[in-house]
Amino acid sequence: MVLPEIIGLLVFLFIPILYAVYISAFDWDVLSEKTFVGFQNYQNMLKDEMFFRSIWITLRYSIIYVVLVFVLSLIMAVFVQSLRNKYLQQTARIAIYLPNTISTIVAATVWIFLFEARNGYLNRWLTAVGIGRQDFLGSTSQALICVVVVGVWLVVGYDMIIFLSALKDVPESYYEAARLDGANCIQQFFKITFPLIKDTSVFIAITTIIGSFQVFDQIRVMTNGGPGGSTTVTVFYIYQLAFEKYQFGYASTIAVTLSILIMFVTLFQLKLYKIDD
Amino acid sequence: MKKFLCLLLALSMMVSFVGCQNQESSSNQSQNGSSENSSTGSGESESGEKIQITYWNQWTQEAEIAFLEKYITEYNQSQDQYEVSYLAIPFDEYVSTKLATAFATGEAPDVFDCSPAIINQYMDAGVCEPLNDILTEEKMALFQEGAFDVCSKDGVIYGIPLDADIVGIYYNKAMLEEAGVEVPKTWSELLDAAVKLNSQDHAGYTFEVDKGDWQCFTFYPFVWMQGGSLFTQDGANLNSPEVVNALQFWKDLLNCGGCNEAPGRSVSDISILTDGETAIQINGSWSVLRADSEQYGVAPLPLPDDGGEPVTVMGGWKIMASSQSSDEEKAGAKDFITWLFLDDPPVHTVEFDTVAKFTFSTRPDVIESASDIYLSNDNAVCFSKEILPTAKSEIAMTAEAKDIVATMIQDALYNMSAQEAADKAQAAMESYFSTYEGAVFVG
Repeated sequence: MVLPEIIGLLVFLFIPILYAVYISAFDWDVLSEKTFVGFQNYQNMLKDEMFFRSIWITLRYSIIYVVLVFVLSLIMAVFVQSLRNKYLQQTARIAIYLPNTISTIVAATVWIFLFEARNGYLNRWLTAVGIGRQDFLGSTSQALICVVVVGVWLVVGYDMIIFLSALKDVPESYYEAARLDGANCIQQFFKITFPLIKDTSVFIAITTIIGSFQVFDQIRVMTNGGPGGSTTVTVFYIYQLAFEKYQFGYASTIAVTLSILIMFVTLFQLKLYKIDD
Repeated sequence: MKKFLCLLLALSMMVSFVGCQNQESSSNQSQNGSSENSSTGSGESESGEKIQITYWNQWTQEAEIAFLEKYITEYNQSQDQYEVSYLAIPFDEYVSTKLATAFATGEAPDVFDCSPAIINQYMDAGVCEPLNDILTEEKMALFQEGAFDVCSKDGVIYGIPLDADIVGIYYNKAMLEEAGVEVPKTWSELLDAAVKLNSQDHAGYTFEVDKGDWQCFTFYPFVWMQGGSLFTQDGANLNSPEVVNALQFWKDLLNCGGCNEAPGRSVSDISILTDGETAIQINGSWSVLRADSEQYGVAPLPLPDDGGEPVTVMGGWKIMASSQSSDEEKAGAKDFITWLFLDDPPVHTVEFDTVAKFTFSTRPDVIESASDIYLSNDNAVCFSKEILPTAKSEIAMTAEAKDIVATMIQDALYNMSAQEAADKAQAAMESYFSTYEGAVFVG
């Protein structure tokens, strides 16, 4: 039963990764013959302003996204868990999870209409409460936040379900004992709940960080990297290099670098949480 | 660890599933064309001996598909040597991934279409078959002067122009009348109109703010109308006063408060205007029959306040043959191209340019043959009589050079002053030219 998994990983993951590493040593526009350039692409990358800008934008996206996803999914899981009515709990769980069933492309398209500068619902509400119209996707300072909002909206339900399953494993007797000792809700959460769902928290944090570094779909649909390159995250930059500028060798160089970066971030996180496996 | 492996496996399977889906949908589309061809083609025992010719393009609209099916079937019935099948691929996929990767894997189509935005990449890579042998003096005479400029390199012609798309401004007559605004003829009039026509419900003016080919395409004429150019025979001219002025004008438009800062779709789509989202929109000749001339008007691009030369940009697809094909396939490709688009009188070409889509042509005989359509309403007349005579070919350049120009426009709009953006782009282009050895950019 393990063999199909290994074949799958080999064909769809390891071979493409190795091929990307191989391609990164070439100057290749797909149409012409590959020219071997050794580490030249890596040297060029270190002088590429756009690459560093894309890393910076990715980091900004990542920080906002990870914090929001982690905190909101945990809060929602605790909220759903606290509902005593079984049907109410089920309804809340489904309602929060529902966005996760929608395709990213569809969600991004719907949100474009919500963010629309003139006739979008959000601006109508903001105007009604006196805040005034915002440019949202047309603003270099707001577009990235808009993309984050869509990403969070899509994934928060999924992470909530994982947190919820972890919360259900915490024995009720611990809380009863804590209540007898006079612990309030916040103390119960930080002294009992949070330490006991640590493994799940690490899992969520790692997968969310990895996911945030790979954001692409909603940026392609909502902003196309703009305005003024303000949402050109690294994966989108790789796409532009490969499929708009036909620089497949250089695009692979950045893809390999990004993979290494994600690996280091993950290892650092595991070390931080002192988890070996 | 096992969970992590499972997750990886699931992701891999998802990737393969998506890949299979794409492949399936493409092959279905291909089969539609092929099966139609073989069922209505000769369909005889010798059909298996025919040389198979594949034609890839981006003509996915219903009328375009109908045109392809009709004439490819007719071509297959007209001779016994070749069997043509086609694959119509959505534009984005066609220009970004499909065509390039087909050449990379040695599975390129025998016949394919290219726009000026991507043509240099293919000509420089040497994957295009010269078409000089089918362009006899008689056939060359069918086209207007300069029609082959963007699809030639070192005197060799690699493409046949299929159509000619030109650009003007469309406006909502009722909105202009209500606001008491005249159709803008100068840059400052356009700025004023954008502000006056702007409201809570609709923008005053809509132009492309997204980085890309379409934005560059519509930017060029604003430089040319001042008598300037982005490139000269000596190289890049991106920080010339004319380019800086055009960048500044676009920046002023974006910041005037009357423009559509984030159109929800490509500005090449006229429905932004027809859905009432804007009062004025820059758009092309392809929309003439989609915008009711009773409600919407067309005018040439506004000129600088101190005068200028009326000019518009002309793009258009070229049909080409692959040099990766065998000699027999190349001969078939050329025979098919000659039959379909070098027709004289231009029966196929007229139907392609006026029924399958609406576009102008670099062939005067096409315009003449279909004068009833090209003069069918006021807007078509405006394009035919006022705008078309001022058309100048789109600049054909490599993807990397195009990116420098596109980045310059984005920088000027959002990140820095027009002069700084132009200087930065000039430096980047000079650096690029120091190693570039391909065709010279003109325009």
